[in-house]
Amino acid sequence: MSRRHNQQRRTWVIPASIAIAMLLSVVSYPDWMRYAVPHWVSLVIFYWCIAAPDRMNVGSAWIAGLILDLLLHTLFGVHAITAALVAIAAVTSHQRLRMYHIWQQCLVVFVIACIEVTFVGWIFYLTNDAALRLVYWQAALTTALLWPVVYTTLRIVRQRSGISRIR
Amino acid sequence: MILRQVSVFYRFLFLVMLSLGLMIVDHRSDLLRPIRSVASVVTLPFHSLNQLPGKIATAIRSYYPDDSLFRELEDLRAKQLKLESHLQRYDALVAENSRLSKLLSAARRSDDQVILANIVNAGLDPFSHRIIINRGAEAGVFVGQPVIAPNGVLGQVSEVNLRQSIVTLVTDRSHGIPVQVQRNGLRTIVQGTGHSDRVGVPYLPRLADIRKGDVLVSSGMGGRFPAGYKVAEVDEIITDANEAFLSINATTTARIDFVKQVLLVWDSERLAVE
Repeated sequence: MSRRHNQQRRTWVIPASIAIAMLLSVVSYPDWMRYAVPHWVSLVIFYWCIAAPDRMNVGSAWIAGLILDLLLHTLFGVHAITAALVAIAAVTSHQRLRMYHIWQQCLVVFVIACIEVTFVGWIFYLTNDAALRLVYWQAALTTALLWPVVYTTLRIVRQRSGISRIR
Repeated sequence: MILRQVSVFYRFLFLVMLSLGLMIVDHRSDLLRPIRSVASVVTLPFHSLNQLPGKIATAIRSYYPDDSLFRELEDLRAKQLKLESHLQRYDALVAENSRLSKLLSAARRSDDQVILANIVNAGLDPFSHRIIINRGAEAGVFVGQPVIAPNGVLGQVSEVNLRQSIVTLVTDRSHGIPVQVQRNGLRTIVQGTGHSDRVGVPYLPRLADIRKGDVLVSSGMGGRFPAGYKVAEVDEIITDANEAFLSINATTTARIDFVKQVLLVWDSERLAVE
C-alpha cells in the first residue's frame, strides 16, 4: 500500500464500519445475552485508531460515541466519554500496540472494556439507581474475545480499500 | 511527537469536560429533548432493521397466492391481544365484586381506550430495563402512560419522541407501581429489582396477610396506572425476625421475552375527569 494507490483509497469504509458496529449494538439480543453484548463500536474505534490514527482520532471517536448515545437513549456524553477514552488509549500508544501479539491486544481491550463498563454502570447507578452487579462485566469479556475477529475482518477491509498504516 | 501527544491529551480532556457538561444538562433539564426527538427520525431506521428478519418472513409468505388467511391470522392475533388484555381485569373485577357487591351499585367504568404498538428494541443497555416501541407523539403517547401486555402491566412510557417512545419496565430498579393483593385488597407497592421478570414487594410489615401464589394487581392509587391489571405473582416470602418488613420476591406476569406487541392505555376514568 504505497502512495501510488492514493487515488483508490476508499476512506468511507471507516464511517461505514462504525455504522455497522452501531447497528450490531442496537439489534435485539436474546435475554441470556443481555449482559454479554460486546462493545462493537469501541472495538471498531480501537482498530482504526491503531491502524490509521490520522483518520480516526479522539474527536471523531467522541462524535461516534455521541451518536451511540442517541441510539441507545442514554444520557448525552456517556458513550462519548468512553469512546474518547478508547481512542486516546489507542492513539497514544498505537505503535506499541501494533507490536503486541493478538492475545496481548485482547488483554488491553479487556482492561479498556472493563473501565468502560465501570464508568457507564456508575453513571447509571448515579442517575437511574441501577444496582452494580458482577454480571455487567461479562460484556468486557465478550468484547475482548471478539477482538481477534474484528481485527482480522477490519484488516482485510483496510487492505482492500487501500488505507495505509500511518506511523 | 511528545508535543502531538500533549495536544491529543488536552483535546481528550476538553472533550471529557464537554461530555460531563452535556450529561449534567441532559440529566437536570429538558434542554436537549428537542435534539433527541429530531434525531429519533434518523435513529428509527437503525432500530427498524431489527424487525427486518420478521419482515422478510412476511414478504416471503405474501408470495403465496392466497395470503388472505395470513392476513386474517394477523387480524385475529391483534384482536386476541386486545381481548386478553381486557380479560385480565375481569378476574380482578369478579374478586372485587364478591367483596363489595353492595357498594358497587354505581355504574362500572367503561373499557379503557387502547392502541397497539410494536416493540422495536427490547434491550437498550444492560443497566436499565427499557424498551423502544414504535408509537410516539404522533399517536398521542404521553410520558407516564401505562403500557400493558396480554398478561399484565409491562411498564410506563418514560420518553416520547415523534414516532417512537421509550418504555421503562416494572422490573427497572427506578420503577415502582402501586398494587393490591387480589385475594384481600391489601395495598402496597411493587418495586423493580433490575433482574428480568423479578420484582420485589419491599414495604409489607411482618404480619401482613400475604401468601405464596397471591396475585398482585394494579390498585389505581396515584392515578397513573388504571386499577385491576395484573402485575406480579408472589413466589417467595422470607420472614426474618430481625427485620420490620417482609422480604417478598415476585415474578411479573408479563414476560418481556415473549411479548412482541404491547397496548398503550388511556385510562377511561381519567379521560372522563378531564
